[in-house]
Amino acid sequence: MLRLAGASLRRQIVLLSILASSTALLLACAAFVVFEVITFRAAMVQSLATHAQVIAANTKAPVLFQDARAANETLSALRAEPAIMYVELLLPDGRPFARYLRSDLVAPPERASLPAGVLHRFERNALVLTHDVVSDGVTIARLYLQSDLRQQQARIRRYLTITGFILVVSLVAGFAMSARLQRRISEPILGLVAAARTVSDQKDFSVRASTLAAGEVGLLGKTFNEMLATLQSQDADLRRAVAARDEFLSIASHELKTPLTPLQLQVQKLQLTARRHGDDPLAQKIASGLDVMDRQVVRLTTLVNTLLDISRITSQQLRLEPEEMDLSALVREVVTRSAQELRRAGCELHLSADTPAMGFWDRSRLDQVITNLLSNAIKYGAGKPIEISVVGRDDRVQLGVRDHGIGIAQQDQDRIFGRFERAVSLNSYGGLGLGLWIVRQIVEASGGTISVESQPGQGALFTVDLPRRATGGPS
Amino acid sequence: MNEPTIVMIVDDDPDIRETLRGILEEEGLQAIEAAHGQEALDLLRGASSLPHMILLDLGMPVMNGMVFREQQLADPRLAEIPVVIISAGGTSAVPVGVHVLAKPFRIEALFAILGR
Repeated sequence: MLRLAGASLRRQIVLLSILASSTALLLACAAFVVFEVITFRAAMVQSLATHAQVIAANTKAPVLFQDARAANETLSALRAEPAIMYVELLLPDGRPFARYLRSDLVAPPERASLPAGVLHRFERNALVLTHDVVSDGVTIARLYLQSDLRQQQARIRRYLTITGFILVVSLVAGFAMSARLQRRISEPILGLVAAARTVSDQKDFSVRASTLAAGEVGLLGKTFNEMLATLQSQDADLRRAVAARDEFLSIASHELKTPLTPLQLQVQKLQLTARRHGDDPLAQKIASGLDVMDRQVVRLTTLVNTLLDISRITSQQLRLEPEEMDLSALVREVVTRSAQELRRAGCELHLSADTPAMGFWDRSRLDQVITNLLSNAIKYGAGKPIEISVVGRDDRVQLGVRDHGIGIAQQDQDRIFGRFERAVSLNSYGGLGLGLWIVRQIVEASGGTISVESQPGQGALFTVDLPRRATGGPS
Repeated sequence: MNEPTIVMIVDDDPDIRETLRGILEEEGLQAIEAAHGQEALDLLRGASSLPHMILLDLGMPVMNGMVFREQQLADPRLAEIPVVIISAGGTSAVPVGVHVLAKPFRIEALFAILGR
């Protein structure tokens, strides 16, 4: 029964129906055999009692006339009844008067003693019966008859054979029947299972199960299909919503960046013009104002890019476009670009990125990572020196950015990589609190890791460990 | 004195066209403006001297940058003119072998592309 639990539906149905029908069949056959045994035994007793009655009637005279020869002759007529093994005629004082022993037996079988009042009893291998020979109301002798049970045993064997035969035949017939009939139940369910598997494997909500089956199975199919229809429409809604969001993101990106373009270029163009008139005090004033505007436009651009990155990352649209590139060269490029920022913060920069560190990465995303780490180092570096290093190992490259500024407390070191997190108070340092989160997303999408070592007041070392080529991850 | 270098600006935003023209002219270059791909094609087909470079926006009315690029490549007279995409959209839809200046870009990036 336990093995049923893991078996297929077809097997279960066939096994269950065979189990049920064979149990019923066995019970019926057993009842039949028991009934037969009981009736056969009653018939045996009846038949032996009849013989006893006839013999008693025929031996009355020999007993009265003390004619043992005539009595023995009467008893020997029992030869015609092969089941009767032994008959003895006993006088009331217990002396044997006449007896009959079946010809195949040498010695009389052991005599069973019947309790007073019991006229017949089934022994292990024999039926024992006594009958009084009565003349004018007086018991003049007693007959003791013993009959063997061979006939009964043969009959029971025959019954068992027949029962076994019937059982085998009906089990075979039952198996054939249920193997055919189970399809009516199992096939619609298996169809349902196949449909469910398609939905779950291929996320295809357009499949439908057959609803042709009658009763609960058909109802199950119908309900399943209704569920699928709901899922299908929800899936379509979801896809539409995602498509709408993607479209909005793309439009928002375009709309926010477009006005920044002439703004940025005009500011820089005016800067160049003002510098050309460097001797003029008015031009100098304008130039310093334009410097501020330039920095603010850059800041606004960064903010717009950050917000768009957040949307892309949260909607799992951070797509990397890896190419063969040199991380050391990129680091040098970012450092050159940040020269003014470094100067303003009064930070000295020590760069050790002289040997090429080649890998297959997304250039603009790694640019973002380096820029972010460097501007954090400048922001929290308290004007102390900053060290950047690029170290290539076999199949990995490590980028280290170290500052000697305010540092990060132990309890904040995990938190700073989370979204909208910062280790410092918002009142002292601005920012969206998204930079390191984006950095971590990019590094992880590239198959790498980022970690930080820091002591408060001792500065911080951020280490980015990148495989030269991301394996398994999105490429 | 050599012939002045001509740069064509194809962008639907007049402020961007004006700004780029100002910068280019300050650098001694000559600028031609077109508000969309069709206008640019018409100008090019009618021009006696072709530009040395085309700064091409992607999202534009009438004819967008991608269609313009296809038409340009299909015209043997125009196919050789180098194109730099200036776009605020993603860079994934950009044809291979074309320079990209993602908007907003800095003047240094523009100078680098122009080779100055």
